Amino acid sequence: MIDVGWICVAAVRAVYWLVMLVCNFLGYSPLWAQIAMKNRKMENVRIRIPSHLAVCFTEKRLVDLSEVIQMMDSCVSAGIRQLSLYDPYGELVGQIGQIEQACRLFIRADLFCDGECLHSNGLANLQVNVLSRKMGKTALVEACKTLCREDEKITTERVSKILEEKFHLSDPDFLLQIGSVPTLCGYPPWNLRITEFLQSPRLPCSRRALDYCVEAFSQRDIRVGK
Amino acid sequence: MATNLTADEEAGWFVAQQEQPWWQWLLRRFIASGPIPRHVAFVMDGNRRFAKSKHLGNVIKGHEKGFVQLAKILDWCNRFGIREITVYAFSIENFKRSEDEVSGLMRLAEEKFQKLLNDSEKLDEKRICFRFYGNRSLLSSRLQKLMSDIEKRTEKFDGGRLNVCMPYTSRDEITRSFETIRNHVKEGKVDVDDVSEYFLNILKKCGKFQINESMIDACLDSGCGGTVPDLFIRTSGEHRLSDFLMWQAADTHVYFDDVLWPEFGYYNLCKAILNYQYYRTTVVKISALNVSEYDAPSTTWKMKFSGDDRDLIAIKA
Repeated sequence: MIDVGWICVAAVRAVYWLVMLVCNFLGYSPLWAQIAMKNRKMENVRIRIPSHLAVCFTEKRLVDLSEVIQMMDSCVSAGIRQLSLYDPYGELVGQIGQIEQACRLFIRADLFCDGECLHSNGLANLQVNVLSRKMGKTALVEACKTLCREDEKITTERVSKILEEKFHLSDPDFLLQIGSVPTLCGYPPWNLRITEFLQSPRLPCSRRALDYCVEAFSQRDIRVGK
Repeated sequence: MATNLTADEEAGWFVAQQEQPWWQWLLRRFIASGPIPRHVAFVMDGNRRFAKSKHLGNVIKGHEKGFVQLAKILDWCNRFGIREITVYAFSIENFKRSEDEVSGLMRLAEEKFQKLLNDSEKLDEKRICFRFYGNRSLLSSRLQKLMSDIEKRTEKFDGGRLNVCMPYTSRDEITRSFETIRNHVKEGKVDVDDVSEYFLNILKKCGKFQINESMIDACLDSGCGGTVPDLFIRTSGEHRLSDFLMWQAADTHVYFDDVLWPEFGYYNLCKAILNYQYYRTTVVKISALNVSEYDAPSTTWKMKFSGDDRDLIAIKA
């Protein structure tokens, strides 16, 4: 008597063997192998959380307040300490009141807008810095004016210090360019020295989407000249 | 690749103007029907990885291959009608590398600059103006002299412009620009303090002006006749600026390519220019957002230069 079950198992195994043979011949790994390889690669990569994450909106239609607030929440849970939101269109600065309210009520976050402190809580897990176009080259012009009033020689350290103290501008570890336009839209230039860039079609507001970006950051090789 | 180069051409800055292969000619004619960037900046990254992957034995061999590729790319850009090219040859941060590599790179630079000066006939034929950006005081006196001689020799040429950044970082360039302005303030030529419109007009009448973006622009290394890049290209799959032209490229189209610099071929250059053409209008619109009432400078500035002499002048008030 022929065992139907045995024939089915043998047929499945034969088909699987054939698929493997074809895939190996064509140079493609089967889907499960690709997933396993990806997981193994990720196990070997030490996940590095960027301490300072920056977001640069390259398209006006992608500036959405609810998504921004959701992203702030995701940043808190991912352990990101500072979030700079650069919007060259000025939409976020126009809605700063609502962002401030969200920072006060839902997210334990300090809020700065164009270098001005709007809300500060001693126990905050996140610092949010909303930046407009004014914080680009114009902030550097102001820094230059301040330094020119003093007698001391101007050094890179002093420029960084002035920008930090006067405009709350510091170097982001990772910058997300939101949208498809490949430009930095005038993001404060001084602070992009060794910042890593990643282009994303939309704001990674969910925790899962943000984790994907953090994984991409972890895989980057940062050498600083060496 | 465009042409098979002779040993002499491989060592030099200019490759022979021979006929292009038909497919390159066709691609160029097709692409040149659209807008072409006037100024392209390159971060020539990936020479060391190229040397390792091709088992060349020494990283300097990778840099030599990178230089050969640069000469080819200069020729291709010239054919496309790109008027200005800026290349990141050596960063101040690169002094952290091994002594062997740094001295090897300096030797290579000396050899290439000397070769350029000796190639008088080619220089006169191509008429390309060479400029060097960066803090030259960190280099040997021989290299400084060679750079200065090349600049003087090519100062009046108008066939195109090549800016070589060595040893350069953008922060250092901006800081030196600030220091130049501070010296002008000390001399009483520039006024710092914010004043009302009434007093501003009085200051202008006295020949004193306020610090603005245009003044910083003029005091940068690129202030001596350079322009803002339209396209910024970085090779080798790294996605960062690495302290290169951060001020000038703040609103520029930034393009990253995964290939290593010595493998950056004609096809890759065409892809970059096509990408520039696709986004050009949008990038221009975004950069135009900058020109608000707040940003618009009341006075524009220019750095008048001749040899090593510099003079900051207000050209519109």
